[in-house]
Amino acid sequence: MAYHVNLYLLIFLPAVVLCYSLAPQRIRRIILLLANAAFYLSVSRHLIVFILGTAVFTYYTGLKIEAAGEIPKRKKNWLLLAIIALLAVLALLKYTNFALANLNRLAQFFTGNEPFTIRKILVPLGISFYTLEALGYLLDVYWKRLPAEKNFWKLLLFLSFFPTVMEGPICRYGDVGDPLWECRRATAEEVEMGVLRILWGLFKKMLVADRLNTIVATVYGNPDQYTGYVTAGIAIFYTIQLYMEFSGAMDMVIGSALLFGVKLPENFRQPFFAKSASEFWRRWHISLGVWFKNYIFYPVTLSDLAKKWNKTARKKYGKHIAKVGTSMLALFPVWMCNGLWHGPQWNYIFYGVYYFVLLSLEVILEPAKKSFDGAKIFQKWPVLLGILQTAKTWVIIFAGELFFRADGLGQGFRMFFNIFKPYIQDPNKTSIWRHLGIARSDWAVIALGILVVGAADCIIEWQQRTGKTLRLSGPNWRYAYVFVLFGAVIVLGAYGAGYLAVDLIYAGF
Amino acid sequence: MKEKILEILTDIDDSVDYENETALVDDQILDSFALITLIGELEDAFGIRITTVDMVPENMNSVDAIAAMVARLQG
Repeated sequence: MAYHVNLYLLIFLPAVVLCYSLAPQRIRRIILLLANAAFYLSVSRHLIVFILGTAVFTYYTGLKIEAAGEIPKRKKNWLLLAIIALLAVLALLKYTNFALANLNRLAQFFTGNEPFTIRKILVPLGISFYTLEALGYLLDVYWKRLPAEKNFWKLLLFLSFFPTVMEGPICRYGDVGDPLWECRRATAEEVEMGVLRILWGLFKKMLVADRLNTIVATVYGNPDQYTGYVTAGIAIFYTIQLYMEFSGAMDMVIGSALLFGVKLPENFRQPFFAKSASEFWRRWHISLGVWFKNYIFYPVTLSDLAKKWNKTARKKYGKHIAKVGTSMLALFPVWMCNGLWHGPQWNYIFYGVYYFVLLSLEVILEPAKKSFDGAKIFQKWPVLLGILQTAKTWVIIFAGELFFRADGLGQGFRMFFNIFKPYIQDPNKTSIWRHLGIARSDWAVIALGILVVGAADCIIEWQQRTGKTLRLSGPNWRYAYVFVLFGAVIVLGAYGAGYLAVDLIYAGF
Repeated sequence: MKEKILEILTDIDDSVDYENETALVDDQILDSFALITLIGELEDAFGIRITTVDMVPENMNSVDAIAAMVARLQG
């Protein structure tokens, strides 16, 4: 069961919401816990033991960390044990085959045979997401930002909450634990907003992402048949597909949680308005970026090694070099983890290194950027500078996603270099875009979808920047949106044999 | 103390009205890289040691919050 399928939208979610809303408060917790178990069992069956094990272990070590109180060594040992154990389970399930395959490759090179047999390992649903949530909770307890949770069921409810367990957003226990446990009945406005968000997510996924998936899969299936503007275009279309798909899934997740009166953090904030790679990551998959910032970037920045470097380098080489060194020291583990977190593939690791290099360059070139941005022409035409910065960021994003989607790093590089070879149009064929598996009418729906989502993003961005609001909200408007979106999803959604198999991309991580 | 903190902040980015700003971190006026510089400068200027425990937005959102944190760490 996934968030976009009929079983979830038409049966599971309404049934749980109905039981939850009718039940007294104490029973609501039990209903939610049972719903979490049913959702998990429907996807991962017996692998539910892993999430239960994680919850028990996190609960127990959280209490131990707190109980160690002012004995720093004992406290640290419990924390280290917890981190190692949680990461070891994640690594064993997710990365064993990757490690063995690479060892086999090495052995093949030196000895000519492959010593390890690779068996398929089933990975529990959402392990990459709930493991980070559990680690975040334990680190917050360690740093005394949170008291250790004394109620196991409350922690379990947080870690297994069915709307977030599959794809995030990666929540902090301090933000979501209490509202979730409160089990408040949703207000009428929350229900309306929840339904609206779910439909908005379906609109993005079923009108745009699932259609783009067809053409993206066609080109990635035969990457060497396509070159030049076709490959470049596919990098752009894949980025749009991923945005529509992942942000659409987040709309469905946030909408589902609203039906239980729980407000989850947003995971996207109009990412294509970013003017730099670092700003892009503050707008795209925000909860992952925030997690890495809080639990890796800052601790590394404030480590003894980083501080020692900072102090010495400031005196010896000046403030800028000191900042560059500290930033790179902290960015490296962040981006290696980001790459690896997405999965055991070299192209994901490359994706992490790619952003490490780009973000480091942003820090290194900061003084040059300041003088470039201060040029007279940009003083006179600030819009021009904005356009240049946005265009540069878009190129960075599209190139990164080209590698991200690739089946291995080799394919990523082949496709990247293919961009620089001209595409020669077959004179007997009409435009190549009509031969990638979708009809002209599908292109029209994609264009319409992009236009609508783009316009909505522009309005939200304008509202956030200016603090003004367009008179396009309120109950009557909401009913109109629900009506239009429902109609659009029913009439224009991508249905049929070719579309049924489009799984949620991030559920695979 | 407040003047010194203002001086450090202005040196990082002089386009911000620090006197009235109360969401320096929450509104991402100071990004992670700016915070690295800020922490180094604060540690040097006031002889304090800022640790991960102190790295919460509430301690960095305004000049007053930063001053309170510095005073507490000097404690």
